[in-house]
Amino acid sequence: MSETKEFKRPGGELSNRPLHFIWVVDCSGSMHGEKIGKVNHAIQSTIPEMADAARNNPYAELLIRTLKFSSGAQWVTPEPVNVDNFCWSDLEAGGVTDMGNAFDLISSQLTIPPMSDRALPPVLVLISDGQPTDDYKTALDKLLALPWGKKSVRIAISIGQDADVSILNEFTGNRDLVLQANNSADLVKMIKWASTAAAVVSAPATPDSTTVAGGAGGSNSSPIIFDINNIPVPEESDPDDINVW
Amino acid sequence: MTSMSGEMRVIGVCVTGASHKLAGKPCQDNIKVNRVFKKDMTLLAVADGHGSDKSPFSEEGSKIAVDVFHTIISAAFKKHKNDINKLGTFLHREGDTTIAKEIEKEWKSRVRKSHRVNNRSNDDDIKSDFNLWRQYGSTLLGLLITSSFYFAFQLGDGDILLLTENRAEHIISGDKQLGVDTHSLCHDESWRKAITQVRHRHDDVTPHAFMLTTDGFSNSYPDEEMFLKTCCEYYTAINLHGTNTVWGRLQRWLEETSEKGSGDDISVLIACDKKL
Repeated sequence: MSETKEFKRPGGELSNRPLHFIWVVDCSGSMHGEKIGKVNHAIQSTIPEMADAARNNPYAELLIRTLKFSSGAQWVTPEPVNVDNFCWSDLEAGGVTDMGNAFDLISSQLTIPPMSDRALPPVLVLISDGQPTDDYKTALDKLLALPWGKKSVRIAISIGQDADVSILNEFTGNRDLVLQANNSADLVKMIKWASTAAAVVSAPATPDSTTVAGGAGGSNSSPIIFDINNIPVPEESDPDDINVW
Repeated sequence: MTSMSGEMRVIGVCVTGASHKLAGKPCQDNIKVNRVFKKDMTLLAVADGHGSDKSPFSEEGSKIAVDVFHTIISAAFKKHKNDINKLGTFLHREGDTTIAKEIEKEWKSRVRKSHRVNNRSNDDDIKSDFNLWRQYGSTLLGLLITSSFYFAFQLGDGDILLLTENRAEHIISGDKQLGVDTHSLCHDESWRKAITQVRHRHDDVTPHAFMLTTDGFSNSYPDEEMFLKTCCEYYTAINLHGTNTVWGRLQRWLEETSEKGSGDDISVLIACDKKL
């Protein structure tokens, strides 16, 4: 080949850094009715906003999946789907709360492979209104022992007064990232806020003077930083109000 | 012994990441190349400034980092200039302790001085030294190539590779951290995270090259296999077309890599042995 002749860039396929975002939804019987209806509606309405936010960072590929758990757990989205192609499938509620089963399924996807070591920290958003009916502890410990489990950004939305907040605290490793939703307006607000975590992870260098760390980094880590001023506060509610969960 | 030369042909470039261009930020990487001892040794360094809002001066931090590597290694060389093998033994024994400590100490000393000279002090600095160091946070990769051995130094993410025909291998298997974390010169006792390696060079080795890259390069590929394949292809391109031809295109290739890949700054240094 002559010196002047152009030749292609050496190397193979290039790739943006994948950012996995997983909705983990409690579909047990207690979620039946308004709760699951609101979850369906709220998540569906956030997807276009997530897609818009993802366009601000074209160097991260936002991949979304849904995992549901009740009597057992199951991927609603078998493979990660680019946010632009993601369609929410309405979930139905019924059965018990096999949260440990859900943690096991997440663990199986956070090992390397199938996860890439070049990915951005995955975001796990757990939505639940109850208490696990299986051995959640063993499964959660296994999840949090995985390198990507440790680095994941974990947010929980606790629906109503019956959710076991201590377990959700264990999941997030950070009490500030357990969001309380006592009514349908709160739930929508919390889901919308949780959905913005993807944008924070793909652009992590925007710390504020009042921040909270997501995920459990080591002493040398630079944790993902959320602005606590933006974390929504649940509305004050009258316990006798029939709209309060 | 060996008749190899430590004089290498070196090409390299830093390119501003596509995401940094979008945000109007400068490139925070720096590279430095020097030839010492009658040009029979080559010193290379690459540093990646953190570039976050908490590290507004990391471009300067990475510049200081590459300068410090050259200063400390040159000083070690001067102590052992009459016996190159003693230098190799010293670096093998003291690379990840004495040398790493000196690099951390000197980097922090120069950072403090620059901060003071440029009147950048603010309330944050007073709270802790870490707040000051973090404003200049940077990784550091370094390589000394002599006629008989090479010494590699790594603190933080990035890659140092040996390239031969059809093969690219890591000289240092760094403890790569997942996500957006890295070890950094700005951490307390950062020297403890330094990893070093001394390897002998042998006559019978086929023509080879060394490659130092910041993590914006490897993060632009879907996996390790594709990354190593790419490094091999850079070697092949140099072998077929020569260093000048590759150098003339390197900037454009790396800009394309950042654009279609990680979006991050990318710096690459390639040192080619004279047989290439």
